Amino acid sequence: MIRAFAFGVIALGGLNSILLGILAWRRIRVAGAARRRARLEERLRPVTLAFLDGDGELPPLTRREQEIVADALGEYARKLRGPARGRIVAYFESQGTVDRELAALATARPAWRRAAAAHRLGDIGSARVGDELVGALADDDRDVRTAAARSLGKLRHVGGVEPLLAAAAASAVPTAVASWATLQMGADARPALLRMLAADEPAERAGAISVLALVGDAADGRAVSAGLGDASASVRAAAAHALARLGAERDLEALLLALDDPSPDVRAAAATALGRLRDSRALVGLVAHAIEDAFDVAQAAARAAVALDAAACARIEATSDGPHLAEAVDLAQLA
Amino acid sequence: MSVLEIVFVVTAAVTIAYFVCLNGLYAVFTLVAARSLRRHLQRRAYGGLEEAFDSPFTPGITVILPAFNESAGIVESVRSLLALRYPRFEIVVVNDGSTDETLARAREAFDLVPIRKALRDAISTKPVRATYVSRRHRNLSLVDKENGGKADALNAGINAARHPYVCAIDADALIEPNALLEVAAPILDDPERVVATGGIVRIANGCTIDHGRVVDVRLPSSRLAVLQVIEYFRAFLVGRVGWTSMNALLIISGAFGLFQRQAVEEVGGYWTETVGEDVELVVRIHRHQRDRGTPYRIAFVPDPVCWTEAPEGIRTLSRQRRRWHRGLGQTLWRHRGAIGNPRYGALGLVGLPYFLVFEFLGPVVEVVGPPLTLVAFLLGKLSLLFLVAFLVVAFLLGIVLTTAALALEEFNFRRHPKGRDVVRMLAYAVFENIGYRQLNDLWRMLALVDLARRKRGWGAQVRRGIGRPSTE
Amino acid sequence: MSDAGRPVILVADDEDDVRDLVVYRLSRSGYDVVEARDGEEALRLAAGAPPDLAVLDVMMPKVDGYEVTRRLRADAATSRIPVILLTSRSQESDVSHGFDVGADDYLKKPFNPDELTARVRALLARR
Repeated sequence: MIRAFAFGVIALGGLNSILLGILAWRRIRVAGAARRRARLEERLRPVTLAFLDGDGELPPLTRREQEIVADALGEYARKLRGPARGRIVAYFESQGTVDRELAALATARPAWRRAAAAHRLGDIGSARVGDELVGALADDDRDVRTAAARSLGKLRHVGGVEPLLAAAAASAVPTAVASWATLQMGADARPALLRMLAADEPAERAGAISVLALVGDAADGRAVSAGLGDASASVRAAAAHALARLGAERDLEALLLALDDPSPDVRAAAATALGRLRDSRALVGLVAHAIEDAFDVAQAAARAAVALDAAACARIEATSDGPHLAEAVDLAQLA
Repeated sequence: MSVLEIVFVVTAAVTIAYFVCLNGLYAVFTLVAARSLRRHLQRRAYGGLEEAFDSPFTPGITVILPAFNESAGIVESVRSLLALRYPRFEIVVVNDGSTDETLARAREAFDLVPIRKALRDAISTKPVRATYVSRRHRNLSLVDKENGGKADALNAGINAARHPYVCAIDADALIEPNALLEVAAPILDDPERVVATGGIVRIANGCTIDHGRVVDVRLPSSRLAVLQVIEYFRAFLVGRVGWTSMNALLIISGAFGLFQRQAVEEVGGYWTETVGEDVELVVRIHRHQRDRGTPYRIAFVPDPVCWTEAPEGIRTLSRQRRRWHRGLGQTLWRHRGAIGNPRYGALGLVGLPYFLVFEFLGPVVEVVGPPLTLVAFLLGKLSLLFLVAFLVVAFLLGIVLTTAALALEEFNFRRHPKGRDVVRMLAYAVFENIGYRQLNDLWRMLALVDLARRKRGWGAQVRRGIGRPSTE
Repeated sequence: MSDAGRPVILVADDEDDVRDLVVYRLSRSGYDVVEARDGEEALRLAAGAPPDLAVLDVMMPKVDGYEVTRRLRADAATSRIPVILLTSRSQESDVSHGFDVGADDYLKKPFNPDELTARVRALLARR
């Protein structure tokens, strides 16, 4: 027994000393490495900047120097566009980095390595990796799928629109990430988004409409307004939101109808859209909802009503109940 | 063997078993934490926070700042919150019937004007006197209500929230600019499952603060504060990371926690009858989600940093600890039906029993156990060598575990740039285990007495106002 | 103007790499550049010797780009300095907020350095 304790004491004491030793060693090593790295970065900065600005090629570099330049260029890739960005892509292609990361994305065993590859490929910006990233949307690991989704957005790979929204609809990637990625493609994503309006999955239709709201123009309003009659409440809500942005005067009737939708999300979105249309015919309906409807709907309706006719709302508010009109009137006076 | 002897021997056995279990659990947690911290840092590289910051699809957050007599620090706190990097957020300050200049200072500094704000009635609270909106920052509003305690103030803030997520923040806490984005990361990654997240809390005493940001991390000169720095590392980097890995995280610090608003409203908001409203809410959300049977997650994120001012006086610290312990007791009592209940999975079978045995009743064993063990020895039931060896092993193990927690910090975050500070913390690891721990046990014992006498309330804490030098 | 008769441009950004590149690019394009790492430093430099133009990052520590712009506009000595804001946010409200406080132009990050020089040239020519 005592022997066991003595052994324990020695073992623990030893363990603690080892821990302390590792800590001290690491502290010293990390500090030294950081200093050396800072010196190298300082020295390499002028050639990196000259290279980025098209003033000359990079001189021959040691392996360590290459790593540091690659890190710096990787950072710049995220922050730059135009010819400078093109030079970064060319550099990584010439170094074989793109191929290396593609191989890791396809075959690396640890999920974090595949996710890191998906992420780096997006940062590097080589346009040829789009299909592989689309393939990675079916990876077993959620982090890999999500990183691939973001990278498709950064690469503005239009072929990714449909797989992205389908993955989001299947809860394979967060909807917000898929929508952001599609948004990066801008107007180029429109044809694919318009095709998605006929998708079988309601979540795919809703996702397509909500991105279309940001990248589309008034011409897409017609296609979107059909969504107001969709069987799925989430599609109807997305459509009402989209009409608020795309602005479609001819949809007044449909939006007024949506104001009485069974789903509060749809009603709130319709109210906001009506506020943007600036058609005073919507005022009566909006005021009624501002006074009677559920909190979120009433709040949206009140703000919309005040946007339409602040003076009239102030008069109505003085003689009616309900906090929402009062709030909206007060807020309007702040501006 | 007489009855008395049996009692002594049993106590000695319990004490020994207690230390073995507790330290064993912590050893396992340390290993688990080392792994999940490494993975967390790997994930950071591709976490997509910048993209989320740039995205109009990122869900909005309402930051709630309850303030009771915070005139010293309210303006600085709000200013630091206004600088948060998050695409869509609003700040709701709740003035909980302060008797000082809190309201006037906030109104003047941010040009707050009265607005008849519409408030939800999802949770009932003490009456609201007035609501204000800042003319300069449209995302800043203030709810002025009658005093009802911190939980009540938070509930009023939830009622005023516009966004689907709410973040509760202490008025004397400093939140790093990126922290809101980072604490929201699990939600952005998995919005369908994650209902609450909490961040790391660090101690700001001794650090240099400029424009609402901690710019230089230093150890405080106060010994008591250094001990708390170490204690927090152990609690956050080992404890909370470990519990999160089995989805039985029970504590999201009241100083910095993010919740899905609907999940909070469904359980009726913070419980106003406790001094430990932060722990209690998390337990209640756990239970509600498990009762409903839908997959859910409550996550701890070791990155986002919230800085808080630790009490440097022994009296304030003792009051704080007694309050925490009373809160824990009230929470366990309210949820006694879930303790050991297999229906609540890891929470019922491991989390709650751990908190009952080791956190809540632990002080009894730690204070009463060793003397009784000594008596057992005096009665000749235990050999002196055994006793000494056991105590040495227990303390050594404690020191190893504390050192390991410091190593986790050093390997993963390295927030203390001064080598001297690290050496000092390592030295204090000894006093944390011999001295500070026993002091804590004593305070917790006193809390048990308080509970038995049904004492309520907060215990006043004298605030210096964060951002001031600690030499006052 | 500097002593050498070259226009002086104030560049304020807390991201070292972006600032380095902008400074490099503008110096090579024939401007004298002063650098600031945060909004406070930018204001101090602008008050000391008003530059001919300022390129300001929006998200800077201490004082953000909007606020720097607002304060430059509020001071008679600096009110006419053209300001280009660099924003990492794509939301429209931020752009309009930038114009509200008195910025002359904005560039969204990620940005094209060629575009930045073109806008600098255009704003300086307008004066």
